[in-house]
Amino acid sequence: MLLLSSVNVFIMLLNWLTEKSLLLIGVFIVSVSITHTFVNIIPATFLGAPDEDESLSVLPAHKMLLNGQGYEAVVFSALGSFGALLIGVLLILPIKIILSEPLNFYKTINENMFWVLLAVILLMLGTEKPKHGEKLKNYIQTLFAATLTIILSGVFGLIILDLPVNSPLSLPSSILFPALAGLFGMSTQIHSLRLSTPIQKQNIEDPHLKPGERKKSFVSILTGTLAGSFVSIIPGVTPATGTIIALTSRGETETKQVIITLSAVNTVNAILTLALLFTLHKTRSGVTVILSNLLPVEEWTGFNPPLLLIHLLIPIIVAGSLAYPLTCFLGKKVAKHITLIPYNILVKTTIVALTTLTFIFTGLTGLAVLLVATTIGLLPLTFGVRRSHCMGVLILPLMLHFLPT
Amino acid sequence: MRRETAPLILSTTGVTILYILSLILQPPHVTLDEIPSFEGETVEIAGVVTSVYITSSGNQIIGLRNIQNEPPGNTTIFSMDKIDVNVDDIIKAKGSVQKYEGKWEIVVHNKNNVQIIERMNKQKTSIWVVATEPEKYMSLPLSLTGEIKNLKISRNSFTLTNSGYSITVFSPPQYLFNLTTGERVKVDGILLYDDKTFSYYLLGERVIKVD
Repeated sequence: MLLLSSVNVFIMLLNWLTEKSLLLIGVFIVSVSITHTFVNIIPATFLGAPDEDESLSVLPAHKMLLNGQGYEAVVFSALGSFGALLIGVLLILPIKIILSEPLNFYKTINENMFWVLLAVILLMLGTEKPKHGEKLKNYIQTLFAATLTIILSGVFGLIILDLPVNSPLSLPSSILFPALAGLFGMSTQIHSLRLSTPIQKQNIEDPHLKPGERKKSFVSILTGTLAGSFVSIIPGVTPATGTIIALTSRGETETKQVIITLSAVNTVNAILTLALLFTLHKTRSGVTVILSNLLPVEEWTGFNPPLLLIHLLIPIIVAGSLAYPLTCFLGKKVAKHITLIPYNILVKTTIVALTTLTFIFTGLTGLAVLLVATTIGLLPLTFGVRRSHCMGVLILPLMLHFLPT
Repeated sequence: MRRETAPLILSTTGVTILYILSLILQPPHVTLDEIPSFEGETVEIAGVVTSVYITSSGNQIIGLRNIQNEPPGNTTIFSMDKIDVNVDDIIKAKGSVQKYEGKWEIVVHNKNNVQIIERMNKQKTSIWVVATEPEKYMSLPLSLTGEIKNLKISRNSFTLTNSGYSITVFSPPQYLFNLTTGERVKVDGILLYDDKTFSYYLLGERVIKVD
């Protein structure tokens, strides 16, 4: 009897431990994902910057790096992410009320998704500005280049979605990995290698916001947070598109404010995709796919959030609060030593790493996809239009799916 | 050659080659029990449809079990497009393997990637014909057409009437929200007998509005 009870207690303890350890893994995953939205500005700033005079398409953080303000870019990005973290957590309940019960606005969005995606594309095209003076001919050329990029990446997306890829090491494969790595990663590295420029000494003094900039930055965080909510709801729309929406809505073009807005969009997107998992049972990111497989995600029905969501939000707030100073610290270290690192070797190593990982996870077919994706990714860089047009790879197949009949 | 031309030619050629490659490369055919070893990969499967369900957001979930001569296994197909399949149809599907909420599923990106190998013929008949010899149609898949009366969403049921004859239909809830009393519908389902009420009823699998 005693033995039986001991076995019973042991099984109960084992079940409890398994349940708790799964929750701990979930907590670890969400903490890493939120920290990633803070620290990813460091490689984004210090890697892949092309020569500003030669290149037509320079990202805002790269522009600051080339002016010796790489560390400043990192600090403002971390500020944007932290602000969005605080506002984003407060937005979860209102977003739930709007999208799910009682207002059920998501149903209306879903029914009109084709038009929403079309509006996003038209907005992306409409906000393109020619790089060689604002003549009508230049406008038409820019518009043509942007449309061509969207269509070509869309056709590419339609072709590859059913292309069978296999890992030679029998690892889980996804066709989206070589596609997105080529469109956004590899193309940027090759472009910067082609038009490489020596990185000048970076200013590592702590930046301070001037009184006028404080208000502007707050508005950037706020609009970025709202645009990030949109990004998390609409499939195929990237944080870059969210940033365009946020900046266009207030006519802001200053580099610092662009970085703050983009980071706010990124962080709030990570928080709200988690909330959407509970609100609409939608998995809009790799993190939420893993969580839905790992934990018993229950639907958020009433006003009180499910306990599991609270358990995951607490580490998000803690991790985000720690990631803010950590990002600034790491950014300062990298900025201090970036001139000592042989830049070309760093970029070439990244290219080799991307190619190797593509082969390991997706084999030879994946390498072919990576190659084609890279050539498409080079189009916006050479034409001088936004890289976010390459998201046609997802948007166009989605539009065809939602095409009204 | 202008600077812009090279990537444009390369990308257009690359997309064309990938298109040809997509026509040549066919995914491996796997049995349903082998699916877990192909996570993330595109595969081709075949099976017998066990259930067809439309989610509230309009996606279709198709339950599938192994074909008789294959090892036992089952899975679900997730499709954003609506595919015209019925329970007991034998289908072939091409899609990527993923795990969702702990269960393996095949995500089909295009409705053309699902082919019906053998359609289970539902016997089209009238309610009055079934009413005269119900035992002859017992447990058989039927397709009945009629007018909706006595719609009870809370009980997932309605009465299907035609030419003065009627039968109770129990339907999957997702179909009921779009229906109203007086509408003409076609119901695919199986005729069953309720020994508590001494009456026959149709266990509906699909309800389609007809003109």
